[in-house]
Amino acid sequence: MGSYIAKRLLQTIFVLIGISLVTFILLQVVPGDPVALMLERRADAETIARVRHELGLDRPYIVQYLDFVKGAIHLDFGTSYFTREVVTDALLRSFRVTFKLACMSFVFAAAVGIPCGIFAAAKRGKGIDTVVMVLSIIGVSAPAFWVAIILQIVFGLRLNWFPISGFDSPLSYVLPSIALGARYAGNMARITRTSMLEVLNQDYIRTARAKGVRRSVIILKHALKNALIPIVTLIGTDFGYMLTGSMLIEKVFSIPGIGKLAVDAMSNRDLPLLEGTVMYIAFVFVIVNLIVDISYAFLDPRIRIGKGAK
Amino acid sequence: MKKFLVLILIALMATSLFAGGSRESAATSSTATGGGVTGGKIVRVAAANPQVALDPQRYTYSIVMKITDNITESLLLTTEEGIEPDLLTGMPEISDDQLVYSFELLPDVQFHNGEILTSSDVKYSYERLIKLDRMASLLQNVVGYDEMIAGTADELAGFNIIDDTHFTITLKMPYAPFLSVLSTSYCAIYPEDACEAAGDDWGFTVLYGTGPFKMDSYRTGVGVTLSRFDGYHGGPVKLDGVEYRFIDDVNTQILEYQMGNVDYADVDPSIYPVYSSNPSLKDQMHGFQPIGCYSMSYNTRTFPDPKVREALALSIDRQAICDSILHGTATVPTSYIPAGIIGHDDTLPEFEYNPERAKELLAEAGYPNGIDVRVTVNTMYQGNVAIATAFQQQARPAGINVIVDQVDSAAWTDMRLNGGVDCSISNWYVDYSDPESMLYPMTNTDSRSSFWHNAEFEQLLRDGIATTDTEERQAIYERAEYIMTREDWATTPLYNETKYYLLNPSITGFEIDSTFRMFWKDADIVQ
Repeated sequence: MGSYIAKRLLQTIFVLIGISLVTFILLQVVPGDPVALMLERRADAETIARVRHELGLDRPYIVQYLDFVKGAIHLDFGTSYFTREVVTDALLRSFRVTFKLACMSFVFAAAVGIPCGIFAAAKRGKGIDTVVMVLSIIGVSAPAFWVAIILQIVFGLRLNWFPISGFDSPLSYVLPSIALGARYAGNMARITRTSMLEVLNQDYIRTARAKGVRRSVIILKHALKNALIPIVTLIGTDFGYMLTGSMLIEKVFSIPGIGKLAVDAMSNRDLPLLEGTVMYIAFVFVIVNLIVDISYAFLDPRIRIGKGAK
Repeated sequence: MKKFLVLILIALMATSLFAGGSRESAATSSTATGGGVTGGKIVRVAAANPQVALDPQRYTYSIVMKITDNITESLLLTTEEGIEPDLLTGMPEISDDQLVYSFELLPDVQFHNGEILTSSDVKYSYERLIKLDRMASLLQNVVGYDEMIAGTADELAGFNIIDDTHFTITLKMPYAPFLSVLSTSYCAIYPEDACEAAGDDWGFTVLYGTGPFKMDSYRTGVGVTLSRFDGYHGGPVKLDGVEYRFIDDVNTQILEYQMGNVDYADVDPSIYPVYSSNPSLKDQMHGFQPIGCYSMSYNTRTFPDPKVREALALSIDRQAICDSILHGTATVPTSYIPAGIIGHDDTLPEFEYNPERAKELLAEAGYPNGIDVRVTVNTMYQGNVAIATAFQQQARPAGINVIVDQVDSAAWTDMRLNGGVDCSISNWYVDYSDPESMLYPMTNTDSRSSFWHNAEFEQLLRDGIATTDTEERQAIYERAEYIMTREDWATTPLYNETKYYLLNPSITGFEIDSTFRMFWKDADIVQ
């Protein structure tokens, strides 16, 4: 296991270097001069050239890239061209918000999705199974911004139960968490149901039934334990997605998280902020996948890395 | 397994709570003095998140000025009645040759940090404006500007301090809009020592002005809190404070207004029809016409023949666009220079939709089989995408095949500057109430996408700023506009928009002017 983790960590470094290179090249290729954007309005060509020089954008690409990599190693992505905020500070500030939203959305998705999936599997073919599956399809397919607006109108404007924007009270996180988590809840319900049905058809479950074990014990103790393995993989990846923010949800609910930071950085061609945000997103995905892979090996004793199950 | 999952959930909830506990430190990273106004007469304003320092010399976004106009002041103020002194004892005296302006500051005007306004603060503020580049060219006619831009001088030679309250500014050439320029938010006066000490924090953690409200806090992504400045030179105002809540989504702004959580919200044209018919809101909705217009510009390198450009202008059904896309929030213009400023010609007819004539013109220009036109649209303005799509249909009978390209704001700016835009839809609003502010982009930097040059037009613009005679200026700018929009067809006006906003009916005295500046100085809340 130790060598597996070391190998994965090494791969992670190469992945991050690759992403940094691709990001850097793409940002040079995509049209959009950050200096022209910064100075818009009355600035002339000479002023634009002077500011480009001050920002070091007229240096050779290789020098700029090596500077970026050197900074990234020290978690120093420089200062935002537009807000003049240190990029690491901006990332940290937005991460705190996004992390909180991601955790609450994750809890909502898991608390709703997994029990619904178990329930649907236990009641397979019955009306309640159909209802849960239809709801899960709606959850997966409904656009998040649409869910957000409906939640705002119903639970904010009409019922006045929850705030509809901002993030300055625990209650203000309820609606965005549901809006963001709805899709993941639907997905978890579907995967849980499928996984549960597969396990419920296995011999050891039949044996347990024959021995007269109570149905609830069979489902929750014997079946769920094995059915959870693919679900853990799914929820790990989902959590990774949540940690990279959701531009739409953040915009609708006025939450200054990572998603909004990334989109704003892109629209402004704010190179330091954009590079920092992309590296953050890449890092989150790589680390989450690493954790999922490691936990997967821990959770399933049949899995032995590089040895196969015998 | 179950224990493992339970542990994960508990850990997540705990860390989530931890994140909640550190919210204050995260959200107040840009907090000035913290706290804020509690109770009393406080107006709550829904505003888009500016994301940047509240410093109009550095950031020219209208949302920045909507806030700072209540904190900082310029020497002069443009009102409906004209230009008035704000920080001055009277209007500046102007020498006979129109080159030297003499100013006298009001005595004992206090900044929010207690410092007294002096002539050196004014000089510092103008020099800072030049050094920051962005709107430096507003002062390009002041003696010493060129040297500062070239880096050969650190001070503005044309600014002469006589004493703490008297100074003169010398111009290189007569410049009629000079006082209008000095009344803009960009020419706000800052206290030299405090501004220098704050450095890049100016506008984030520190912002002092001489205005009726002082900034208590600026919380990144959350909002700005202002409280009444009791030492205001115009006497204390009636409101105890103003709170700006950052809400980016236009629909959420209106929902917050409906819930009574904000007292002011802008109504975006895209949602105007939804709310304008709402019986509980329509009486609280107010409109105003900003000085400016939407127009379609043509790259004269791609379309060098004015006949082709005229044909394109004749292929736009502006009335249909105003009715069906803009839902009646816009009117068909008769001129590029809108009503309300010198140069507007109200005798001109509306721009017509005449695809038959357009077809004839194309044939005369050598395109009897029609032409292909690529319209590049900035996706930041989704309304423009709809307009370009409508134009695609409207131009077809004239034999014009319109291709709509959508690009993001950064790419659009880049393409426009580099000549990559053949035809574009854009808006332009004046920085100050003068035709020069409306027309200068056509010869300078901002609309280089047209790359249009006309010697007579450019001479007229030079003549227009060299005289202060209103009638003479009216004739000059009427002619200049005629050349641009009806002879050379470099750009063609599309529509004049009316902007709408919702205001709590218990608020009185609120002012919003035609350059989109927003003042809460005389506002009150009537219970």
